[in-house]
Formats: sequence, structure tokens, C-alpha cells
Amino acid sequence: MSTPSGSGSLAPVYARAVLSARRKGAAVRSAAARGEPVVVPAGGVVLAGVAVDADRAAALARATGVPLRPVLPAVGPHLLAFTAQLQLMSAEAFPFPLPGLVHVTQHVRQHRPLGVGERAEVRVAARGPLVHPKGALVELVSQVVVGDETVWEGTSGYLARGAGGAVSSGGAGGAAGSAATDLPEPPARTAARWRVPAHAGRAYAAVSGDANPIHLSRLAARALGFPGAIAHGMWTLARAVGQVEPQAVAAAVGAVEVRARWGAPLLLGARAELCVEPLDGRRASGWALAVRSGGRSGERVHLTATAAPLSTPS
Amino acid sequence: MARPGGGPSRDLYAELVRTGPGAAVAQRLGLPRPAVLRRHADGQPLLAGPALVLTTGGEPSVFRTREAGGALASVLRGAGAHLVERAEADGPRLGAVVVDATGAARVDDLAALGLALGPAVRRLGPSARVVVVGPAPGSAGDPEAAAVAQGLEGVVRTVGKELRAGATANLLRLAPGAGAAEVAGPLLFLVSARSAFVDGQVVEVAAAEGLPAPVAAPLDGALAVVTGAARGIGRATAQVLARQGARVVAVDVPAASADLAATANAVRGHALALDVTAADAPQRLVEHLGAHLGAGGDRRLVLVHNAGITRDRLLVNLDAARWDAVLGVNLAAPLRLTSALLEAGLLGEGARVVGVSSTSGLAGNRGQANYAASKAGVAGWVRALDPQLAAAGATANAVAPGFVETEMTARIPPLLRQLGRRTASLQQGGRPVDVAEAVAWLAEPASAGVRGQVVRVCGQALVGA
Amino acid sequence: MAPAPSPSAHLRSAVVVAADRTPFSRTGRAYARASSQDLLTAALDGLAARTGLAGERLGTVVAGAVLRHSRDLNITREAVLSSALAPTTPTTDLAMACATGLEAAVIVSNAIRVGQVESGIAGGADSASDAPLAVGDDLRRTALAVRGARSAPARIRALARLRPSALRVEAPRNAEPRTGLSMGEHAALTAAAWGVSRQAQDALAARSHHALARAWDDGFFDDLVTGYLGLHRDDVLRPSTSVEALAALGPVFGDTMTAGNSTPLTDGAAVVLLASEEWAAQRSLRPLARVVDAESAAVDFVTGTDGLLTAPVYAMPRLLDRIGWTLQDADVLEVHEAFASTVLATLAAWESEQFCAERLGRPALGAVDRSRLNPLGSSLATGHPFAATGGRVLATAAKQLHQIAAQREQQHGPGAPKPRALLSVCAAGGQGVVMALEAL
Repeated sequence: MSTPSGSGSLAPVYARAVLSARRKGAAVRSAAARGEPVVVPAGGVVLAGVAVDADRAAALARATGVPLRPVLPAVGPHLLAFTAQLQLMSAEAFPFPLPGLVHVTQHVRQHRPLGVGERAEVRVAARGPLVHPKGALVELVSQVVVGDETVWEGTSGYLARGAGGAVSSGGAGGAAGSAATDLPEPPARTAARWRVPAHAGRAYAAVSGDANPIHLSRLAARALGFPGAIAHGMWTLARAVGQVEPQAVAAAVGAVEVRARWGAPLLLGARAELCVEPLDGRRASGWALAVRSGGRSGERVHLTATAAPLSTPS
Repeated sequence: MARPGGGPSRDLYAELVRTGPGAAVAQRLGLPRPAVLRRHADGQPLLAGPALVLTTGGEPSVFRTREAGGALASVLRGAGAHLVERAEADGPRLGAVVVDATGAARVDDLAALGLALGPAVRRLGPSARVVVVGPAPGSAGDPEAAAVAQGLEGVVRTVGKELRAGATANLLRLAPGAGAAEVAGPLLFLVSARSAFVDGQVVEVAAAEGLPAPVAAPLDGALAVVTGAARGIGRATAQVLARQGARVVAVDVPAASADLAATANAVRGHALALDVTAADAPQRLVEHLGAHLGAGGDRRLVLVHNAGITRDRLLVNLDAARWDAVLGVNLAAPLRLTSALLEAGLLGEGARVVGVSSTSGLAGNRGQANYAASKAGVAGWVRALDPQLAAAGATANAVAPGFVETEMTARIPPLLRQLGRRTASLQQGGRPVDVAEAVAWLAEPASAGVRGQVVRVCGQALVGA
Repeated sequence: MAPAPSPSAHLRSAVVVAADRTPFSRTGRAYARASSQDLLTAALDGLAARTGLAGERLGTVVAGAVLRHSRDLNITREAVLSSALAPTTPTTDLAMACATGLEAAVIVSNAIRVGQVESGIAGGADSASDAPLAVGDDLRRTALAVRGARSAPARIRALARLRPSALRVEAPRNAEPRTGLSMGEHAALTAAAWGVSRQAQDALAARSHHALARAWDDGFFDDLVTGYLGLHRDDVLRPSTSVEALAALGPVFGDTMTAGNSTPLTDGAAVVLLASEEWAAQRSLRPLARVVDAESAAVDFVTGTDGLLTAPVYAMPRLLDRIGWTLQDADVLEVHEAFASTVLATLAAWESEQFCAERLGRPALGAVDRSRLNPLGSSLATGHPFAATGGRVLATAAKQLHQIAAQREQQHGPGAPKPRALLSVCAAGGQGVVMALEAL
């Protein structure tokens, strides 16, 4: 495992990623054409002594509309995980080009909330690629560890579109996206109407370091095939979970599990509806969430998620 | 990822070697491959597979009843276990093997036990349980019986070291007069997922009166005080006690008040910011609990002395301040607080005092003379305290965590830490929740037969075994 | 003549059950990035934890913030929704400048006393770090015109009318709209009128810091404060300050008022749980004190007849007369230290036969035993997050009464007289609130 120092600016990481994108893309395509499976690096990335400080926690709270607490919201530690993920995915040994990867699923197991400013070690390793209907899915497994106590675990599913041929027929690690398969039908009961702020992309990019141009610029987004600049998936998830988190945490004795699957892209400036329903009809079971748009029928589903007590706490 | 059998491990090393390519590498290098331990999850069955009850020994069993398999089988059946008659080579993997060895008294019985256990062990599934119930040495006044009773310990500890895939082996020793009522609670704990990190242990069970049958929310009506509850083992203990039905008073120092509040709100309990070493701490705790226990005394008290600190130095460098700080928090404070509650009459019928010892304290650990003194001290204290509480219908015990992954263990140098994890039979560190589950079990009414003991939660570590 | 029994004597009691606040922090420090709503949420969570109220529905929560963004509409409700309390707990936002927190307690206790609710939380939060910046009227009008314009050219025309000067933002000013004077400048006028000396002010300030530091060291606040964002003690507090050190500071308002004997801008939140005695008993919560009565007053500071911060001078005798107490009955007298001079001018007014005869139409209230005045320090040492101060003062007084009562009972047995407290908080706009408490 490599242990790069600290997080720092992510700009050089992006620059490196963009430079290698064309080459990696070509390599994956030719591997797929030959039916040769590609492999993700066996090692991981460890970032020691990282923390979400009060400034960043406040910026996250402001960007996603949750209160600034002494502890982070359940999706907050992903900020730390993402920095490490980016290092891993932009590494030379990582086969897929970073700009083409889409965050399609997320699974969070929070054993206890991470404190604001609390120093932690972040470990990220890749798993896969797995078979996905639209290509190849790479799962990045992240742990946030304080001392030797794992306080947070996340599994992020990234889709490399059209790279399905590059997955070995055995499906290296079993079924794709366990987080995605365990989700209920998206709820339809409207709890909130959203007007996605036009600056949400920039605000969340500033917080997360995820400065993918599809979130920042309409032109860049159009160039990559989107109708306009789109919200970060994690922003959508953080804001949706924020709506039910006080109740979910209260029922969960502090340990929370969040599962999410993103669907249609959510445009900045768009209107959408947050739908919330209790799981199993009981508030104590947790909450099913969906972000929908498309008029009364809400046929476009941008996010399907659950926030529930962790099944095996601590 | 909520597959039965547990979620992903919290130890990335374990995470990596379980996946396909990683596993191959680990095998090549001869690294131990830690299993994912089956831990408690709401609604899961008691066992991951069927249970087999064996009876061995030339003398009559304590548990012989007209029911099939005797009283131990009916305890398991009552808790929802599916029982099988024998271990079939092509049958399902066993979730537990329980051996009634209470009738073992002759040397030949040991061999018979081993030969009976062997085929069953071969059929154990992941995180399966082996529990041997035997007599206490010397209870019969017969030297050969005593030898056999002690011999069971050697068998069980060895089986613990030979088992793989998260399976554990423990021995319950029955004192004279103890029967199915006393053994039910400890047996169900040891076969359940709650005892994931309790391995290679010997627990004595004494006769007790008026024991209730184990129930789903055994701590309903209990008021549980947990010191050091803001973080780590204390926080996990507050969570598990609350899950089992207790109302929790979460105690920690004022400097940890923000985390303490989070714990208290999460478990819907009360936060009490209190430095347990402060001169007025006993008085303040008595006042606080006096109000909450109510005049009717309808709640029984569970007192968990978890607050602990380390101030490590080699003995020659240990100054008075480091001795005083560690002894003050880890040993003197539990003594003072307990005495005050006892005097105030708050440790009544059904009350439980649970101390937190430590395997490195019991065994001694380089650089930790002060800590070892305090933690070995806890073991001696609960042994002597328990008889004092007996008259009131209360008990005192301690848990001794082995290598548990918490903030405190983070101070151990990395290489030792890895060694600490891998030299246990379970080949990994425990989690705070593992200790918490043992504490919650000792707090149950059904644990009344467990008295003055130290239960290690160490994954059968070499240290302090 | 014996005073007529208080008209509220037949009402049931409202008791102070518990309290929580964040440590108070000088603006721009520990809570630089926290909003008033964040702070209020933190205090509510701390109180819920202390009292085991997570998930419980309370009768009401009344709180407010003096410095408010337009988004802080319903700040109390928003804070409750983010807190561990049940989302079914109704709330009211309240504003009475620096007296917001204490007036909230008056409203909640009255609702309890008449039997409308069984329990409620009163409090407030303020963050000068999170102070709203407003755009000038010119920019606001332009923005509205642009929004109202129907075509792109019309929008451009509307924008073109904007002058660069209109882009200035207006920070909230600590000044009275009618006089243009800041609170400090007003207080300086009052200090001069009463001849309050620099030495007396510095002595009061030094004493406040020392007393508060002792209270913290004694663990007095262990069950009144929950840490927030890594802060565990009030950071305005200077335990080692001295009269000499304070004397070295230059005046900032008038000739005698310095940064050392005035309160700095502060961030923080404080909440107090009030309830009927039955409600508290059902939850095994041991109340600290009973709310006896309260009174508010306002003065004509606009014409200079009275000092801006002297309304409690009038409120206190009205309260005392109604409940039949004297100023000297108070075992604890908590007078909010907006400025050291405010406290000293207030005491001087109560001692002055001439002032009391002319302005209050009654004999002087008399001198107070200074050891009973702010015994554990006050706003000079804790700082003064405007709407949070009332909750802090009420909690501090109630717990002191509880402690004094316990001491007395130990010494004199159960028949000992119940200790009493009087609280006084002055506010901008020439208003003030006073409250009487009694140990149970």
C-alpha cells in the first residue's frame, strides 16, 4: 500500500488523471475487444492523520442544508474517503480512465459518528471489476479508522460505461453492487420540493474536492453528453439523508447504514421532489428515500436510498 | 452486505485477504487468515446452523431429563435452535456442539469425550460454538473426578486453538447445586453470536435462587450506569445495554461532554458529566441515581466501571503522578463509587457490578506496571466484592478485554498491535461491541449464577490466557 | 401595609428542571463557522442528553436570536427539527433583544403555571460570527426591478441604473435606531450621570472573571454546559486578569469604559427546561428552583430621561412589591453585566433615596450585600451572546439556589428558610426583564 502524505489540493491528481485518460481508455477498449479481463490494483491507499476540520464541516453543512454539529453527518466521512479514492483511481495501475467513471452506488456503515476535527486514518482498496448491465463496476471499499476503531465504512460503486467486455466472465467478485441490489422500490410520497441551487455544484466541489467539470460548467457537461451541469451524487444523497438523519440516528442508537443508487442525472437549477417513506411502515426501521422529477408521476428517479439503523452496530 | 455471517470486517488486512486474489497471496505467504466473526444482529437466529448435544461420562448427568437430549437440549430448543441427533458427513454444517460432561468423573471419560467431539468438530460451520458443560474440580471430593474436571479445561482450550473460521470453544463449570436454570443464561450467551470474541474461557456457574428464564429484552427495568461512555468500549456498552432494554446513565468527564451527549441521545439515556476521581463523585452519583431509581426501587441497578486510562512507562521511569492517575481512575474510583452506592442501599436485589479488567493487566505487560496493577486489582476486587453483594441478591464480576480495537489500543506501537491481533486463536482484534455484549450478559437476571469471576474477551489470546 | 397577595398566587408552580448551554466563545473564534441555529441545536441536544428527553415531545420551545438572517425565520423550529427532541414539539420564535432568553422563560413558565403545557424549553442563541449582512436599499430596489422586468433589455436597463455605491453591504450595527448611539455610548452616558468610577468598574470586572474561573474549577458548570466544536469552557474568561491589568486598558466608550469592563461580542446558545412539578417527578428529574414571578419594564431613553439599559431599575421594585419581597431577601442577585457600569449604575439607583422617591415614588430599595451579587461571575467573564444570556443567568441562579438550599438543610434541618434569587437583564430598546426564583 502506498501512503501519500495528507490530502492537499486535488488539482494535480485531476491533471494526472486527464493526461492518462486517453491512454487508459484505449487500453480498456482493446482489452475488452480481445475479451481479456482487466484487473484493479491489489493494494490500497492509506491516508493517515486526516480530519474534516470545522471549516470544511461547516461548508458541508451549508452546502447540503444540515446543521453543523460536533460530529459529521453519516455521509460526511466520505469526504475523507473520496480523497483517497481519487488517489487510487488516478494511479497508473488503475485500469479505467477517471473522467469516464460515474458514481452509481454508495453504501455507508457508520458505527459511530466521526467528530469534527477528529484525526482518522482512511484506507481505500478497490474490488472488481464486476459485471454491470452498462459496463464494468469497480467497488472502492473505504474504512475510516480512529486509532484502531473503525468508525465508518463505505463502499462506492463506480461505473466504467461500456467496459463490460473487460470483466472476466467469472465476474471476479460475485454480484454487482450489493448496495444497489438491497434497495426497496423508490418511495413516492413527497416530503419536500427542491430547487437544486445553481451553485450547488461549485459549493460541493469546493467542499469535496470533486471538481469534475460536469458539476461546474454547462458547456463541459454538454461536451460529455449531459443536458447541463449536474449535481454531485453525494450532494443529492447528503441533502436527502439530512432530512431524516435526526430521526434515523435517534432510532439507530447512533449507528446508521445508508444505501444509495443514483439514476438519472439531476441538473443544477432543476426542480425535484424528495420522497420519504418509513421502511416497513415503521419509523424505527429507518427511511426509504427517493429524489424524483418529471411532474406528478415523478417518472425520473435521480436517487433511491435508505437510511436505517445499522444491522450489526459497532 | 448484510449477509448472514456479518458485514465487512473493520480490519482492512482482513478485508483484503478474504477477497479472491488476496486470499491466494495470504496463503502463499503463510499469513493467518482472520475470519469474519458472526456478531449479533436483530432478528437473526440464535445459531448459524443446527445444534448437536452430546452426553459423555460414566456418571449420571446433572441434566438428565425425560426429554430428548436432556435439559441442555431443551434450553437450546427453547431459544429457537434446531437440534440434530448426530453430525452427518453430508448434513448441514453445525452451528453449535454442546457437550454435557457433567457425568465425566473417570480418566476414560476424557478420551470418550475427545472421540465423541472429534466428528462433530469436523462438521462445524463458520463461527460455530463448542460449549462443554462439566463439573467443578473438587466438587465431588474425589481426586480422580477432580483430575477429570480439570482435564476438561485442557481439552476445551486446545479445541479453541484448533478451531478455524471464527468458531470458539468454552467450558462451563457447574458448582454443586447448579442446574439447568443456572446454566441456561451462560449457555445461551456462549452459543450465541454475542460471544463472538469470547474463546477458550472457563466460566464457573454457582447455584442461585429464583432464576428467571432468559428472555428477549433481559434488561427491561434496569438502570445501567456506564462510566467512560463517551467513546469506545463504554459507548458500545451503553448501546448494547440499551438494546437489551436498560435505561442508561452515560457517565464521562466534562471534557468529553459533547461525545457523551451524542452517546446519551443515541441510546435515549441520560448524560452525566462526572469525573469519577473527583472528591464529590460518589455523592453526586448517589444523588443522581437516587432520583432515577425512584422511591419504589422498581429499577435494579447495573453498574459498569469502564472508565480507564493508561500512562505507560517502564517501571523505573514511572513517577508518582502516573501511578496515581492510573490507579485513581481504574481502581480507586470503582471501589469508592461502589461502596457509596452500597451504603446508600442502591445495590439491591438483582443489581450487577461489572468491572473492566484487562488481559494485559492480568498477565503483566511491559511498560504498564501501573495499568497492570489497576486491572489485576479489579479482578481481585470483584472476587471479594461478590460475597458482600450476595446477601442483597446482587453479583459482581469483571470482563477482561484482550486486544480490542479502540482509541486506547492505538497507543500501542504498530508492530505489537499487529502481533496482538494475530496471536489470538481468532487471529484478529476484538471490537468494543464484543466486550459490551459480555458486560450486558453479566448484567442479565439469568446470569445470577456467575459470581466473582473474570471473563476474558480476548479471542483466546496467548497473553493472559 | 402588608402587600396584597400576588394575583398569581393561586397558579401552580413552574420549576426550573435542568439547563444546558454551549461554552460561550468570543466572536470569530471557536464558532466562527457555526450559525445561531447550529448553536441552538447543540444546546438542545445537550439538554436532551442531560435529561433523557431524546425522542420526547415537549409542550413548547420558545427561543430566539437577536442577530437573524432572513433564513432564520422559524429558527427555533428548525433547531428542534435537527435536535434529538421529537419533531412533534411545537416552537415559538421570540425577540426581545438581550432579554430574549429570560423573556422566553417568562412565557414558558407562565404557560406551565396556567396549566397550558406541562413542560417547555426556553432559551436563545446568537452568533455575531454569523451576523447577517444586508444589501443596501438601492441594490434591493434594483434587484426587485430586474426580477419584475419582462424582457432582457428591460432587465439590462434596470441594472444599468445601479451605482457602484449601491453594492455596499450593511453589517448590523450595535446602535439604537432612534439615537444613533451604540449601546456602549448609551451606557457611558448613564455611567457619567451616576458618577460610576473606572476603578469600581474594573474591580467588578476582575471579580467577575475570578468568580467564574472558580466556578468552572469547582465543576459548577459540569451539569450546565456541553462542549461544542472542541470548546469546553467559556473562552472570554481570563482567570488571571487583575484590576491592575484592566487599569492599563484605554477607554472605548466615554472616559471610564474599556474593552475590559464591557462585554465583547460573543457566540453561544443556552436553553433551560421548565416544567410542572408533576411532570418533573414523573421523569425522576429533580428541579432546581421555582419561578415565583417576573416583570418587564421599558424606559424613555430617546429623550435622555433615562439611560438605555436602566429599565430593570423600574422593573425590580414593581416585581418586589407584587410578591412582597425586598431586594435584601435575595440570597443570589444576578444582574447581567452588559457593562460593569450598567450593574453599578443600577445598584446606585436602587440605593438612592432621591432617585427612588422622585422616579419610583417609593423609598429606596437599599444596598445589597455584594457577596450575593453575581457570585459566580456574569457576562463580563462569560461573554454575552445576546439571546443566550437569559438562559445562562437563569440556570446559574437556579443551580445556586439548589446548592444553598442543600447546605441550609444540612445545617438547619428541613425547616430552614428557602433561599431566593432575583434576576435582572437589561436590553436594547430601553427594555428589561426581572425574575424572582425560590428554591424548592
